[in-house]
Amino acid sequence: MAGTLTLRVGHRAAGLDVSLDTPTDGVTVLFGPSGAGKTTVLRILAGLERPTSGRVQVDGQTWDDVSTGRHLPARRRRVGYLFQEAALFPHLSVLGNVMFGLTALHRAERPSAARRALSACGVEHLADRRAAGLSGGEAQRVALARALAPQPRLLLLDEPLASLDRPTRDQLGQELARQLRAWAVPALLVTHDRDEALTLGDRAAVLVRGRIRQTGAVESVFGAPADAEVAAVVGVDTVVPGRVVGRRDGLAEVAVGTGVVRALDPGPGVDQVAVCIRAEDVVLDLPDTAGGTSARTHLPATVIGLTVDGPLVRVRLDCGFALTALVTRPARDELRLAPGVRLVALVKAPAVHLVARPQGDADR
Amino acid sequence: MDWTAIGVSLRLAAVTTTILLVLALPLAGWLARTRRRWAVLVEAVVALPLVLPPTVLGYYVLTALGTRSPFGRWWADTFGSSLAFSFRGLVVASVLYSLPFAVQPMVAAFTGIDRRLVEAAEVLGRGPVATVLRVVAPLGRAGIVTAAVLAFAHTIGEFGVVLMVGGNIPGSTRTVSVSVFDSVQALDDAAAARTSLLLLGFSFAVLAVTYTAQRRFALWPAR
Repeated sequence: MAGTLTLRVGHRAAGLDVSLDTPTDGVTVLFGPSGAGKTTVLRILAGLERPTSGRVQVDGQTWDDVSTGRHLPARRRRVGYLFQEAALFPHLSVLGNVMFGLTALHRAERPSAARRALSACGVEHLADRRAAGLSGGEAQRVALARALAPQPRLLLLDEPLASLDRPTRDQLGQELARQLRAWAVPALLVTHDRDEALTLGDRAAVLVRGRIRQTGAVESVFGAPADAEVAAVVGVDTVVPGRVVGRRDGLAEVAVGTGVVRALDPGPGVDQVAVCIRAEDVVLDLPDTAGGTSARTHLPATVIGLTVDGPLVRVRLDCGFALTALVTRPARDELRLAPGVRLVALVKAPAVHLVARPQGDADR
Repeated sequence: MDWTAIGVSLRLAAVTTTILLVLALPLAGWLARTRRRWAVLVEAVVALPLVLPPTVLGYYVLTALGTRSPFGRWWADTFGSSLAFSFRGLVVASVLYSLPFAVQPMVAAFTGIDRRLVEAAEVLGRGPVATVLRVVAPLGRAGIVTAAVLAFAHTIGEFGVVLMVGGNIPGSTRTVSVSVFDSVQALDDAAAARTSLLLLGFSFAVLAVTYTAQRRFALWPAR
């Protein structure tokens, strides 16, 4: 039943020239540095901004087509839009805010439908409060309920966690991921935060200077950037899906590919994770020196390839999953690195960054 | 005290203010949001009565309403009486004359409303009318109250336009300000003083109420 979202749009003032095709199911992350034009893409999709060229098609329906002058007004698109700051109507109650979009329902049915949406987002107890007095996290939850209550065909999220403090952001990120899957609403999320992208996204599209540079599954985009510019934007870490298989002494054992790495325990309840390892945190050593502290992961590895990167050498390894290490040229010579050479990759547990991915999307 | 003139003034101000609110609300809503370049021309036209001498405005309105203009002739043919030198003609002139006093406070208030709230209303499926009535008007109500009060007070105080368009017909077009002018012309200083004092007190009260309203209703910060 999944359709397609097709964007072929230009926007002169924002310097956009975007070409994007993505299925309308699950969560697509539009990732890019600030100023790349991400928000403009979202606004064009919502109908709040008109493209200066091109067209927008969603599930076979044309929303915008500059060549024919077609522009479906925002109010007819049935999209949900989550602003960076909640943008709740300050003169209405929380319930009033959620009921605002329920125009398709009979007046008498609106309060109960609004309460259902609030309760699904865990904020039913706020229903009678004035929207103006909520905390950032509460307001964003109410805004989510308001966006979801009319059962939009597409949810657009503009850095919904950016304005929140760190602890709230982490908590709300997990919750948002669960909500998006529970409502099964296709979503397009704009962010420049890789943790947010990895937590929430199924697919990622990287937007750099107004153009889509790479699209694919989140791990593949973040783990294998297509070119140097994309790499600079997403970072060049190893990003692979993993599963927590054991916990001991504050450490978690995470199965990755055919290997196991140790990392700091991400907390109870977290099972599916994206494992992120920065190339500069990977130490290479000869196989016979293995041993040492248990907090270090020792991964038997085979060198696949080498790329010289200025004074450093980027080493691609196979250790049950694809891992990238960054070493100096003298170290390369000392270790006699070449494709096929077997050695040990060492990673300290604190250097392994786990991003929780609620509800198994490893099978997606 | 010329109670008939006061009655005419109050009636004129009430009718003018009502018409102005209906006209100015959508106009200000549009002016506050539009990005069309020619919107500045509309703004300039709305603001014209602020700088134009009332006699000039009055002259144009009189010419437009008189039976020698197509509109004036059509009106006279349709309704059987001329608009010039009538209460209805005064209403037309007053609406034009007080338009900036109704539009400008509303535009100022509506411009201060977070744009995303308007966009949120749109995305949630509401049309422009519902958005103005349910989001813009409640959030900009300090501006609407100011607009109503200023339009009312300004109509009470108008003189030049009234004299040009309405003349000085007791019970129909003689307003308070014309009455003061009459009293002075007739060397009735006591009557002029009484009426003037009344207008002074009224104007002061109106401004005090306006500023109180602005503080009271500005409960929600714009951002």
